[in-house]
Amino acid sequence: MHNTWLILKREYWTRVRKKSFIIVTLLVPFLFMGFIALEIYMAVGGAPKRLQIAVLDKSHLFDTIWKDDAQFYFQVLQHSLPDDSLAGYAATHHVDGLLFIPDTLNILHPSGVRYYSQKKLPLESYISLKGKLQDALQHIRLTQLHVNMAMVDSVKNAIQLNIEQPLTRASELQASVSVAIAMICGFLIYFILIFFGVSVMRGAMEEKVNRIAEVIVSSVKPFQLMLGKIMGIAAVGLTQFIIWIVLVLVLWGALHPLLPEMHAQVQNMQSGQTASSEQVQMLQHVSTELLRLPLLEIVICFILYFLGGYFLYASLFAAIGSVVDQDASDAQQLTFPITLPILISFLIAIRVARDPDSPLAIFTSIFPFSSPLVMVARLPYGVPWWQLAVSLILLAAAFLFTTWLAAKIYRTGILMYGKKVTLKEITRWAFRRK
Amino acid sequence: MAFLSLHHLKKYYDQHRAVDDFSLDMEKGNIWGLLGPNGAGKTTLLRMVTGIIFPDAGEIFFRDKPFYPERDQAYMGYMPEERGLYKKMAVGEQLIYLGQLKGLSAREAKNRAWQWVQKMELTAWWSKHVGDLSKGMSQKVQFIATVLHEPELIILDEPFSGLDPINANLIRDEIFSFSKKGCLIIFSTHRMEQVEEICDHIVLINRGVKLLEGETFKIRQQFKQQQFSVKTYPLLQPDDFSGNEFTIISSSADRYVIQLQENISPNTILQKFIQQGYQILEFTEVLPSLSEIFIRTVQQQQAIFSSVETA
Repeated sequence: MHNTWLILKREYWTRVRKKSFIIVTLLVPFLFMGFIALEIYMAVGGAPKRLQIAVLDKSHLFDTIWKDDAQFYFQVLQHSLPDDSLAGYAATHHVDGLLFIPDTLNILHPSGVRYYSQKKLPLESYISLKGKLQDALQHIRLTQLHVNMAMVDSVKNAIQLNIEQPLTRASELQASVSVAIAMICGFLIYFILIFFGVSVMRGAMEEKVNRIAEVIVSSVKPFQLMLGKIMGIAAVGLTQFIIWIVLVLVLWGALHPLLPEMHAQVQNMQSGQTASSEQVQMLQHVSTELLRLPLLEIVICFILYFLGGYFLYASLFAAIGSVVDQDASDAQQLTFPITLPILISFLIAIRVARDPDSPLAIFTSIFPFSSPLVMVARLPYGVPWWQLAVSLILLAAAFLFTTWLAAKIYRTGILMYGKKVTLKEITRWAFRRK
Repeated sequence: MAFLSLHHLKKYYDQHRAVDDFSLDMEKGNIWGLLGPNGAGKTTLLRMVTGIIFPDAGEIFFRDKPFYPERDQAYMGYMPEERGLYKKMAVGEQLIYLGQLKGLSAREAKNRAWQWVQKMELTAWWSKHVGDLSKGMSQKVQFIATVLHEPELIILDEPFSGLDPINANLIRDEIFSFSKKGCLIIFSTHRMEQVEEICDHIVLINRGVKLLEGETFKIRQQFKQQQFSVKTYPLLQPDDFSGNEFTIISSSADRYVIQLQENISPNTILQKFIQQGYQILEFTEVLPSLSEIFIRTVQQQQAIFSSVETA
C-alpha cells in the first residue's frame, strides 16, 4: 500500500508540474467564461440599436408613417436637397442614414427608393424598413381600389392564431436545458475516458521503453505499479476538475454583478418587447431551469461514473501500453477494441440525451462498458434509484474484473522487449491461471 | 543453509525451457559471475531471484527463509541489463524515489543519495534531468540507485558496459568494498576478463541448464591442460628435442607456450632443458582462460544436444 502511494505521488507530482498541465488547467475556465461572456454580450450589446434616419420623401405618399418606434427615429426633411449631396448627407448631419423617395414613384412598380449610409444597414432594420414602405403602399393601393380598409383589418384579425406562448416556451426551454446538460456530461465523460486513458497508456509505454519498469518491479509488484499510475492520473484529473469548477465559480462571481447592469442598459435603450431584452430574459430562464435540475445528484453521480468508467477503461489502456514496444501504430491498432465501445457508447449517449427512457437507453445505462457515458446523459431527466444502484454495482464489479485481467497482461507485457505481440497472445495471458 | 539457495528452479515459456532444474548455493561475501551465451537463461534466472517473475517449479531460500518478494526485495539491489531511469526526472529526485520504493524514508534516501552523488562526482547533476546525462553518467546514477538502500544481495547485469576505464574502476572498487562488507554479489556478463578479475566464483549456464559452478581458481585448475610458459637463455631451439614429450602451442619473441603429454611431468621436462644447457629464466603453468573454458564447455553441450536432437 505504501509503495502504491509512493508511485501515485510520483505520477501526480510529475504531471501536475508540467507546463502543459498548468496552461490547460488555467486556460480552459477563462475560455469557457469568455465564451459565456461573449454570448451575453451578443444578447445585450449585439442587438441592433435604434437608428436615426433622415427622410426625404419627394412623393409625399408616406407622410403618415414616419413615427418613431423601437428601431427608428425619423427626421423628415422639409426642403429638397441637391442630388449630389444625398450620398454624403448622413455623415455630415450625424444621422445613421438618409432614405430617399423620388417624386415620381410609380405605385404599381415602385422603384428608385434609395437608402444612403456610410454604415451597413442591419438586416433586421432593413426588413422592417422595407415592411413599413410595403405596408403603406399596400394601403394606398387598396384605397385606390376602393376596398374597405376596415373589412381588410377584420379579415386579418379573424385569422390570428392564439398561441399559448408562455407555457410552450417554458417546457421547450426545460427540455433543451436538459438535453444540453446531458450532452455536456456525456461528452465530458467521453473526453475523460479517452484523454486520461491514453495518458495511462503512454505512461506504461514510457516505463517499458525506458526500461525503468524492470527496475521498479524489482521493488514493487507490477500490480502496484499499474494501480499507482492509474490512481495518480485519476488524481490529476480530479485536481484539474476541481480547479476548473473553482475558477469558473470565481469568474462567474466576478461577472455576475455585471449582468443586471447590462439588463438595465438594455431596458433603458429599448422600450417594449424587443429581441434583445427577450434574449436576456431567456438567459434568466435558463439559469432558473438549471437550478430546477437535480444538480447535486448530477454532480455526485457524474463523479462516481467518471471514476468508475475511468478505472474500468484505464486498466485496459495500461495493459495495452505494457504490450506495445515503441511503435505508435501498434498502439493504435491495439487500442481500437477499447476505444470502439467508448465511441459507440458516446453515440448512444447523444441519442439518449433526447430520448432518455427508451429500452436502449435503459439497457446501455446499466451495462457497465457503456453506463458511464449513457447514464450521465440520463441524469438530468431523473433516473429511478434502482437503476442507478444496479448500474453502479455492475460498474464496480466490471472494473474489478478488467483490472484483474489487465494486471495479468501488464505483468507479462512490461518485461517483454522487442517482440510484436498479437491480440491472441494477449488474450491468452489475460486468461491463464497463473 | 546458504545465504541464497536456489532449488531446482524451472521456468518454461511455451516450448522453450528458459531455466531448467537449476540449483545453486551462494554465500555472503562472495562475488559470483553468472556466465552464459546470449539467450542462455541468465536474465530469466535473475528475474526469478529478484522476485520479478515466479518460477514454475522449485524454491528459493534467501536469508534462511523461503523467498518472499514483498519482504525480501528491500534486501536486494538489481541493476538490469537494459538500463532504465525516468528521462524527465531529476537525478536527485529519482534516486530518492527509487530509494523510498526500497523502504528508505524520504530523509534517509536523500542523505544517502547525496553522499553517493558526491562519491560518484555527480553533484553538479543533482537537479538535472537524467535525459541530459551522458551514457556513462546515467550508468553511475543507475548503480547508485541499485545500492542506495545497502542491499545484502547485489545483482548487476553487465555493470561496466558504456563506462570509460576510470569510471569502470570507480564502480569496481565499490563492488569490492560491498563484498568486503559481506554482501553477496552476482555479476552477469559476457566479458570474461572482467570475470577473471572480479569474481571469486562462477557459474556457467546454457540453454537453461547449469554446466559448471565453483570457485574461479578451482575451475581453472580443473580445466588446466599441462600448459607451461617457458623462457630460457639462450632461446629454446625446438629442434633440440626429438620425441613427443611436448608440443608447442604458441611462441613469442622470447618465450614459448608448450603443451606436455599427459604422462610427462613438468619436472621431467625441466630437467631435460637443464641437461641441454638452457638456463631457465621462467617456467610457469598456464591456466586456461575463462573464455576458453566457456567456449569449450558450451561447445561440448551443444554437441551433446545436437547428437540427441539428430538421434
